Amino acid sequence: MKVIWKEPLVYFLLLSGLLFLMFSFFEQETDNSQEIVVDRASLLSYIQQKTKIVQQDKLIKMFDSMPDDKRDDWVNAYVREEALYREAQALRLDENDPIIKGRVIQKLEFITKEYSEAILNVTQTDLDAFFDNNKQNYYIEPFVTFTHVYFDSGTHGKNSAKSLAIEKLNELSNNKVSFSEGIKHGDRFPYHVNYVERTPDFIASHFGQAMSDKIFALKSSDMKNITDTWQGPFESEYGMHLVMVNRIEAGRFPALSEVAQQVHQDVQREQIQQNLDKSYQEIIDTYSVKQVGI
Amino acid sequence: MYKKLLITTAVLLALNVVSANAEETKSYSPYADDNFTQNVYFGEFHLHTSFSMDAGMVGNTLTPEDAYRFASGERVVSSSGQPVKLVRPLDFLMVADHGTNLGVAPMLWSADPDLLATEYGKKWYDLVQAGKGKEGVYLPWLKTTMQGKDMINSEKIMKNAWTQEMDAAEKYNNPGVFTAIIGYEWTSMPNAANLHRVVVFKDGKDKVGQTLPFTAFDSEDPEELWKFMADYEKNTGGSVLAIPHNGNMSNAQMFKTERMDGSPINNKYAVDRMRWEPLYEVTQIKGDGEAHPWLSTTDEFANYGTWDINPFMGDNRKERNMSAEYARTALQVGLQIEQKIGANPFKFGLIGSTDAHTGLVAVGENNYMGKFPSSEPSAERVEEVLIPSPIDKKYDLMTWQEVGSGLTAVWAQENTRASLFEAMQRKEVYATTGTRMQVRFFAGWDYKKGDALRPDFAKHAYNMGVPMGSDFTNGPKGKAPTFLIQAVRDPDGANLDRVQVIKGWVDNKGERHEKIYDVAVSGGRKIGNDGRAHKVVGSSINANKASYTNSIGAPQLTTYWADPDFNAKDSAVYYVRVLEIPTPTWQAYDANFYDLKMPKEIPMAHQERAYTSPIWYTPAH
Repeated sequence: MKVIWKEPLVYFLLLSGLLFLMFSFFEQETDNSQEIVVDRASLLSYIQQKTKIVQQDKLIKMFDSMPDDKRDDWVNAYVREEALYREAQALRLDENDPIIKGRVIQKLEFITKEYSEAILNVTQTDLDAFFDNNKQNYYIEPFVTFTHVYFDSGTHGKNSAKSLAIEKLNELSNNKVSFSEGIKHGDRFPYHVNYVERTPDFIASHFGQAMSDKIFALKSSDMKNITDTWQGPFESEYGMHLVMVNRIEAGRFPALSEVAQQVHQDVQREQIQQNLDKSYQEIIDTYSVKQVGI
Repeated sequence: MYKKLLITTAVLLALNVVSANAEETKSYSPYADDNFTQNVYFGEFHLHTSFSMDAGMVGNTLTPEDAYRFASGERVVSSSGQPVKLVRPLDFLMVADHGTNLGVAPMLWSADPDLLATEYGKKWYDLVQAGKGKEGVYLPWLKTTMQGKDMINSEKIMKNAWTQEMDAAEKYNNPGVFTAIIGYEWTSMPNAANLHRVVVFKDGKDKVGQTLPFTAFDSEDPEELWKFMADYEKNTGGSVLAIPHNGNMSNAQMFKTERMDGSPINNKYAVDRMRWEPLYEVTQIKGDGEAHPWLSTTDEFANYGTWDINPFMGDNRKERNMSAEYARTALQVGLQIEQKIGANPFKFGLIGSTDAHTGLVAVGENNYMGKFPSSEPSAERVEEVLIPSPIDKKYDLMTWQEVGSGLTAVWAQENTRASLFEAMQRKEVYATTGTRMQVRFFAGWDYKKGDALRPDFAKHAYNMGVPMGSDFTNGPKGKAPTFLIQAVRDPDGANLDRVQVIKGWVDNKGERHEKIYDVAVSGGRKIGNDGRAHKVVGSSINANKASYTNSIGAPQLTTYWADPDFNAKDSAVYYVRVLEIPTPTWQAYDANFYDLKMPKEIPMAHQERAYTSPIWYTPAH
């Protein structure tokens, strides 16, 4: 207990609590009488709710030119609503709300977070260690540039699409059809003809995961045999594809110097989280917990 | 070996007989196997109803259902009690209400029991009942919301509202006739800077209903939004994309070269942004964001619908980095970043929207229903303050500054959620300032001059090249890219003044450049060696009657163009801008209808326009 009293956070929270108590003490009791007063102002604002007339002057003009029977209807409606509302209040239907509990906890979390940010200290050793342990976060994704000739499985049927693709592959290769001339062959694909410097996830979103995997697997063979030759057929979610790759790059991990700024901020973020966890534990430690008949 | 070959050949031949391959067995009908995108659909992805707090709390009484009814051509009564109808039905609509406290406004008016069970729901209800809806609820709500605080914070209430939004879209979605799309707006506003995105789902309620909108209360960082989107796709097998808007109100945040935490854009950020945000909303009522006259100093048409003073910040134009706000410059900055980090974070297509908070997509100048209920037609609307400045009255945004813009055009096979969404993913879409002109734009290496005159223009263009939104690279040595462009006027609108190609590129020193080429002009005007037609189209406007005639301009402009300044080693981005002849603005129609004399600063004529999604050239490796 002695150790806890030395924590500045606990002092800070205690002070905030005292202030809150002081303010609630001076807060006034709410009106609880059984009399409903209908005056011009309350009736006007009631009508405003119901008619949704936003401009005050328009509302007053409308109200003042209203026939008496119409005005009585408004008064009755107002009284009914006011009576039911007060009854609900009297029954304390607004109390014991779990959402209010959550909201108050959230406020405490905000204060604790500000405190955690104020006591940061990032050293070079922290940076090196963090970078070593979190290399994955700084990964530069692989990418590919290719064009493709497409055969629609929907219209041809899968087998025919495949045989057409095999035939076309011979034609394209024998005639040395270039990258830019590929567009003159095959069917229309729902997305693009050319894909320039696109990542596996992007290719998967247009062709499906299986074909994306196959295209990026091309990297493992000899590059000279891949670029500027027609490959395939590859099967996508839509049909068969012959692919000519112009460029394919493997993913890579950059050096710390390339991403130093980013690493620094990430270390800061980690420190804040550690401080937060520590602060919460300190608060919890001020309570003794008794588990009864769980 | 020989036998094996024989069998393979036999199998291939047999398969060929049953195949319906157009290339091998030609049909008599030349259209039997057409499968290019032949239809353009008009609509928008960014309309607010009373389900948005800043609409429902300021007098909007229309529901998402009303919005779909109006867009699909029905006559409805606006929040201010005026009957209104479109000249022609639209083809699609997405109601995009703010996710932050979605649906709370109508719940306040209807005393929703779940809402009243919350602390603030009850408090706000009481204040609304006490006639303090504006001062007690709306204005404090604006303040806390801009600070990222959710005073309601109830999953149950969000779910109720979200279900109503989805149900409205499901009810009015009529494949082939009218497409109602499910979505919402993620309204991130760190330090009053507009980083808003609309979130568009491809799917129906069966999938979208498995999630709740990720709002600015969850995070103001777009990277967190993308994580939510990735999770949605992973968990449901559905598809989703996001579209940012109003860079002009973003205080130089929209296209800045840093991430939200201040670190420079890295490879992952660029890759993720283009995976999730293939489009940018370039024009809407709160300003046109294609170009700014300070950034594009030689462009006499750049100063269109310019809104460059944020009422919450005052006139800080000289201090802020405008190049992080306007689409044309951002497209070039994207190429610069790509040179440095190997990925382009700003490779976006262009769309237009209204962002109206009236529940009505009504941005035709003679049928302009305004931004908020307060700017629905009245003799007084031009004088009213639209967004008051907390700093100084002189920075108030006035209703007369509203731009009657815009719409999205989508080139698709059919009018369905799937087909429209796929077109958005491939960026085969364009923006207009509200007109429904048709624009096609293709790039290839082998187009010829005569191709522009072919009766099968579009089919040929697709067969030989790529449409708007595409990439091209690795062309034949020594050849410059060629383009085919076709623009047809809105059948209920104005003739065309000119078609322009706007090119941006980055040279080997990393410097960015832009150049405008007039590629087709009406009235036989000359295009000079500088690529520009300097003679203006003139005007057929009758100022006293707010009318014009199509006695000038051309109903259609179709052309072939080859880039005369092409360098195969420079990355480049090309898009098309089409200008109409001058027509009266909505303010001019107001002056005529209400018999008003307008102050000098109010624009009475303008040239409406379309901006296509770009086509990108990347040097081959």
